[in-house]
Amino acid sequence: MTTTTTTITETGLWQAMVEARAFDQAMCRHNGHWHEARGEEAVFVGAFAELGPDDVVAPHFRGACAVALQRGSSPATLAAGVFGTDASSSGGHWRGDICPAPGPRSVGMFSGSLGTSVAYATGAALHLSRTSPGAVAVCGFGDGTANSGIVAESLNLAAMLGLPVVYVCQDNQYATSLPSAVALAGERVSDRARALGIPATDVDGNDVLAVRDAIGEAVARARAGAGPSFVHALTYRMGGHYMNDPETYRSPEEVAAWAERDPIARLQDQLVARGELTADDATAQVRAADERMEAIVAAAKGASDAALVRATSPYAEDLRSAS
Amino acid sequence: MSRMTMSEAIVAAIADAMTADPSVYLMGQDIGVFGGPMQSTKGLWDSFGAQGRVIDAPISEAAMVGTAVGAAMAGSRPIVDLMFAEFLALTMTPLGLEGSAVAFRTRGEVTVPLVVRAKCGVGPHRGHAESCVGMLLAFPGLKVAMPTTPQDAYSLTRAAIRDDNPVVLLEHMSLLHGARAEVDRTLDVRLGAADIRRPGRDLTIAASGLMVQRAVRAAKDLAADGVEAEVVDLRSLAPLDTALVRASAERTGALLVAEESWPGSGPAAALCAALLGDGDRLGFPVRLLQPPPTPVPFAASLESAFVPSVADIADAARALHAPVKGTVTA
Repeated sequence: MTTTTTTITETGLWQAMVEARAFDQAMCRHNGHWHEARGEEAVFVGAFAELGPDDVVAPHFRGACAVALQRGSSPATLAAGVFGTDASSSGGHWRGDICPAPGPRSVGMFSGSLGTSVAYATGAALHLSRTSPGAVAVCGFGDGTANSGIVAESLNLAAMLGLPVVYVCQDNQYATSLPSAVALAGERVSDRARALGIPATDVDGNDVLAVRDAIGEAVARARAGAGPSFVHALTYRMGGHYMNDPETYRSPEEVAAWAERDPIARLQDQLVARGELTADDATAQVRAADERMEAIVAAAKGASDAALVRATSPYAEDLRSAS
Repeated sequence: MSRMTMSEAIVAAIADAMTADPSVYLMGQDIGVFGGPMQSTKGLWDSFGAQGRVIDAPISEAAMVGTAVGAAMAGSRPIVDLMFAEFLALTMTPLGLEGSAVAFRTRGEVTVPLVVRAKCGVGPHRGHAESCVGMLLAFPGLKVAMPTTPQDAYSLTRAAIRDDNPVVLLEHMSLLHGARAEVDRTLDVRLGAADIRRPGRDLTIAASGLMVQRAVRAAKDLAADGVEAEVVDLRSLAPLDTALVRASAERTGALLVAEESWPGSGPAAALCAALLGDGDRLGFPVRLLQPPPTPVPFAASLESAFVPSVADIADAARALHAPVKGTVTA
C-alpha cells in the first residue's frame, strides 16, 4: 500500500471527537483524578483513525481512552477500568485511564513514567517489521515527554533500523505547568527528528483533517518500508493538567483565545457549511453522546469492587492460571 | 553431548532457541561481525545475521530494553545482550518497574518474554564487576538466573528464553571462560530451582556465581579438618528456592550465606527474609559473609579483599560449625 486510503468519513471523524469529549467530560464530572483532554481531540482522533487491526497503537495518556473507544472498546468497560471496579479488564490490577486496553496491538503505560511507551511502540514496530510487512505502529506522546532521553534513543534506533513507526508529538503546550515554548529548546521539536534523517511535518493540531492527512502520508511511507516519520501537532490543553489544577501558570485570556479554535466546533462549522450536517442534528448528536456517556460513567462510579481478587504472584504463569 | 565452556553453552542455547523459534531475536552492542563482547555471541552473526535477527545496537541501553519490552508485548521473544550488569541501572524503568509488571497489570493477558544478558563479577577484566542484583530483586515479576556450570548455562538460558516473564541472566566473568564440561542439550532446568553442588552433613553454604566455586573449594579445605559442608548453588536469585535451602540447613544444622554482591539488599538478604517470612523460629544459626557496603574498589588488592575468599568462607564455616563460646554469629 503506497497511497493514503481514507476509511473514515469527515462526519465520522467529527462523531469520534464528539464521543471522545463526551466520555472525557463525564469523567471530569465524576472522577477527581481524571486528566482532561478537552481541546486535543483532533490530534488523537486524527492520528489513530485510519489504522487497521494489525497495526499497533500507542497513544499518549491524554486521549488514551478515546483511542480505545475508536478501536472498539466498550465505554462501560473503559469506565470500570478507570474506577477499578469489578468489570475492569485488568481485574482492578492497573489504571484504566492511562492503560485502557493493553494488548499485542495496543500499548499502554505500565507506570506513571513518561517516555517508555515510545520505546515500546518502537519495539512493536520492530516486531511488525519482522512478522507483518505493511503493518505500522503509531505512537503519541506529549511535548513534555518529547524531552525524555528514551524518546531520543528510540527515534535514533527507529531511523537506524528503518522501522515502520509514526511518532506523533501531541503538543498541548504544557508539561503540567511548564510551557513547551520554554521547555522545548530549539526552533521546532520536529527538527530533532529531521536531524536523524526522519521525515517530519508540523501541523495544526486543532484541525483534524490536517492531522489525518499528515499521519496518512507518514503511515503510507511506513507501510511501504520507507521507515519512520514524525508529526508535530500543535494543540492546546483547555483544562488543567488534572482536576482542580489552579492553573496559576497561564492567563484566562490565553485559554479563551484557544477556545475560539476548538477542533470539534471547527469541523462542525465546515460540515454544516457544506450541508453534510445540520446545526440541529449536530446539537442532537452531541446531546445524545453526552447523555449516553454520563449514564455509563455515573453508573461505573458507583459500581461494586467486591468481586476483585487479589493476586499473590507477579509471574505470568501464575496469573494466567488464576484468572 | 559436547564439551563447552559456560560462554559457549550460552551461545549454543541461544542458537538452538533461534533455530527452534523464529520469534527469538538478539540485540546488543558489538554483537554482529565483532562476535560480541568477550565473544558472547560468537558465530551467531554468521548463522542469523542475514535474517536480521542479530541486531547491532547503538549505546542506548534504555531503548534496547524498552524496544525489547515493546516487541515482547507484540509477540517477539527478544534477547538483549546488555554487555555489563552495571548498565542495568540505565534500564530499570522499562525492565524493572514496567516490563516486570505487565503480566500482573493485565492478569497474564499481555506478557513480556524477554531475556537480558549481563556480565558481572570480579574477574580477569578490570572493572564492570557490579552485578546490581539487589536492585533487580527489588522489582516483583523480574526473574534472575545465575549459572555456574556449562550445563546450567545451557539449560537456564533455554529456560529463560522459554519463560513468559522478563529474565536477567547474570553471567559471571570469572566463570564464563572456565573449564569445559559435557552439556546435554536435552536437559531441562526449571527457573527457581537451586541445586546441591556438594553434599555434606555438618553445615550448609548457600551461594551464587563465583561464590559457589569458592564455597566448593572451601568445602574441600574443611573436609581435611573433618567438617563436611553442603554447598547449595542458588542458580535462581528470583524466585529463590528457599525450600531447598531450608531443608538443607535443617538437616545440617547451620547456614552460611556467601555473597559477592552488596549487603543490605541482595540474594543474602532476600534469602534470610524468605527464611524468616513464615514466622517460625529458625532451627539453625545463620551467618552472612558479604562485601562491605561500599562501591567495588579498583586496585586489584582492594578488589580481592572486597569479595569473600576461599579462606574467608572456610573460616566463617568453621566459626559457624564450632562457635567459640561468647562470639556472635549473626
